[in-house]
Amino acid sequence: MPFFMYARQPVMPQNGRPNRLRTSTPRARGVLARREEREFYLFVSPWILGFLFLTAGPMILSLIISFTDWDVVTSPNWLGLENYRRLWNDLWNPSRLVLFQQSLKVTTIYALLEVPLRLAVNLFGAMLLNQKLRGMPAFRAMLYSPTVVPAVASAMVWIWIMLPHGGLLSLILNVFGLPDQRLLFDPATALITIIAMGLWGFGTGMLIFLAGLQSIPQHLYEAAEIDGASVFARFRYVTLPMLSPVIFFNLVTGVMANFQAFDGAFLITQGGPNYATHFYVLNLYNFGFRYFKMGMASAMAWVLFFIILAFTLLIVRSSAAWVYYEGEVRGR
Amino acid sequence: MNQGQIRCGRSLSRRDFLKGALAAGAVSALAGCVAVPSGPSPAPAKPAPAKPAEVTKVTFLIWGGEAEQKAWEARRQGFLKRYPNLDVEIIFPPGNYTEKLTAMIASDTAPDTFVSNNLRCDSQRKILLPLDNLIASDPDFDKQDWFPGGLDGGKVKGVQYAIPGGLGPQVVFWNVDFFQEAGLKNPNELHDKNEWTYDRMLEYSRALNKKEGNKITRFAFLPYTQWWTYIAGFGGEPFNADYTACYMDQPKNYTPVQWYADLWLKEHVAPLQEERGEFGSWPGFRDGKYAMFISGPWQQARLADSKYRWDIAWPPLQAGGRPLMNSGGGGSVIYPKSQKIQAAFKWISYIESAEGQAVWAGLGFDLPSHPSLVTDYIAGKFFTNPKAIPPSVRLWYKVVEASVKSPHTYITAQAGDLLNQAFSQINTGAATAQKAFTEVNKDVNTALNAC
Repeated sequence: MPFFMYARQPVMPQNGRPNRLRTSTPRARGVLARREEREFYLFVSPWILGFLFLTAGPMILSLIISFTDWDVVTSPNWLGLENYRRLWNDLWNPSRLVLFQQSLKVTTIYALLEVPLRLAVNLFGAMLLNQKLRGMPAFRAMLYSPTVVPAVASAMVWIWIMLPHGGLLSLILNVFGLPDQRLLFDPATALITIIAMGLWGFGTGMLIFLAGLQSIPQHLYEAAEIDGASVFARFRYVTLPMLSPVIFFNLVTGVMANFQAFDGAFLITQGGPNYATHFYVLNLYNFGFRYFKMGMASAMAWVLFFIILAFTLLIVRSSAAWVYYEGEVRGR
Repeated sequence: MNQGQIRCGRSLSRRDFLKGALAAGAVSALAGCVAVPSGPSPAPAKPAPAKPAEVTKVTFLIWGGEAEQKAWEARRQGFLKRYPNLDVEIIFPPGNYTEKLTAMIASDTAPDTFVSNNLRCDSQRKILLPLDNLIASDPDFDKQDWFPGGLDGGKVKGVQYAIPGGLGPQVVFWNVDFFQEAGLKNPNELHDKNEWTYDRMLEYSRALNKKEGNKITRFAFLPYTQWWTYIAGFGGEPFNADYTACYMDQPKNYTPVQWYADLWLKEHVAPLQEERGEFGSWPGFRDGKYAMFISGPWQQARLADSKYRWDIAWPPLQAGGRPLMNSGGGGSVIYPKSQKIQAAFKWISYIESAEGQAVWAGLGFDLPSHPSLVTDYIAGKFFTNPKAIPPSVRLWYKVVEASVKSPHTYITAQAGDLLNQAFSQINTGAATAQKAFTEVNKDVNTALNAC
């Protein structure tokens, strides 16, 4: 329901009886309603203004720019659909000058692997932290702390860990008689390494899972236990269905975030080796801010918007089959 | 107490509370708008030196770390002394310089002056003011005190758009102790006999690598500088005169790059890509982990504290080869919409004047590009740290005279990216130089013509 319709809803008491305090006379109710309406708009106005000028405005502008050749400084030249045509052509005849197909391929593989892996790691972490043990707040703080480490700092740490010669991982491997590895320097393993590194900062999703786990009524587990359900069965038939709205939320936001992955490639690999980690948004950034082709960058942004929208709609559509809400009665 | 009321001394309705909060917020916001200086009260100011009533202040956007910022401030102080009626606000943007400059231009808050990294593209974008008339009419600008062609680095299609900065000839930095220990000759003596070639450098490198058991503890060579150095040193010509065509698919251009990569891929006298993290970059040379590397004059200050004796030498040259020098393609420029063009020109011509460059050179950065400074430079008069002066300091300007310009500031960013990605394959041995550059050459040609 749009927000303005909420503002116009009559004040209805919880118990179904009229609220005498607030609706003593029709006139008073009108005055109160108008005041509340004004206050509503007053308080929501920063968000509306922010949305209009900082989100919707630039989005519309970028749509217009996507039909031009614009270097930010000089007047834009109208190209019509030329930028989109170049992207379409690159999808079938890839070129190093556009790198659309390559960057889309890298990003899709990344998202398809990273999203489920991250969900699994987040859920596992949350289940660990949901135990009733002494010192649990300290464990929670420790597991959440990677999330608050700045991307640049964590990139530097990962570079040091992954150094093929003298890096921490190599040193550990050497102890077991294994040779140095060159994960980030090999096109075959660079993307997988970036995915593994990305799993480190799993705190936010884990926290949401933890909140979801703690809201599952205990009596459901007790009932399952009485029925003889094993630990796995309780997880499969109680935890997962009850967590499905949280999984749904983390899945949608994860897909959105992973299609916009940028930090790892920008800070660690610069898209290499041999374009193996050339992410979509890194390509977009290069076109916009290094080559000053804002028209092409905007076209890429809009294509990405529709790709993410398509994945999101797919997940939303599929959610009817696997997301369960407490109190929901199916078939009505 | 009714719902929505808060007990606070007296009954306060929710509405009253909200009104109060709103009023407090508004007062805070207004207070924030008033420019009240924060922090402790300033000490009573000393009487300011008498300044002329009208001071014209221009803005200058530039990047730089702590050392560079100090050097720019020193130049500003010299400028204030020289022109008491002028001043400059030097802006060091946090983060990416080019992004900040572009954002400032797009939002119509462009600085009066800045440093262009790519004159060819920036002149096409019409963000550079032609300087020919200003140079011709300014009596302070000494056109004679430049090395022949020195100002040409600031030209595009014959129009002067920038005052180029100092010079960055590429030479070999070599560890004198290690060379003597291995019984090797001074490379400059070999150069004088035309014997300091890349073939000879490879022989020397094999002698300079040091092993303990199976482990290499010192590499002969640090792969540091741009690979253009080797193309020039072998006599290659990777671009046409106006940098609109690339010839990296020709053997004379890709063979030197393969030779360079083979220093670590085949000979292992330089560290493999995966070994470089352990041995480090230029600090590795300073700390004795490498015996030589190729770089420019800005390394002198960095190496001053080395416990080893070091010197500079001619870069090795094959038949027909030339040293490479960073020069031109960029420089100090004026934004055409500046309202203070005369003052802006005074600033950019001052910073690259003999006086301005002397400050810069003294801190161990680029080599001055004015003949009037050469004598003092090679006498070590500009160096603030005497340990930064190499024994062969006289060599710098001999190398300048023999050098060709590095193409990296003349080509587009996309062309540079394409070539660097090709090199990254050669670097790891994933592709030969012939294959990598031949594959990419056509795309580079397209990118060169799309600023």
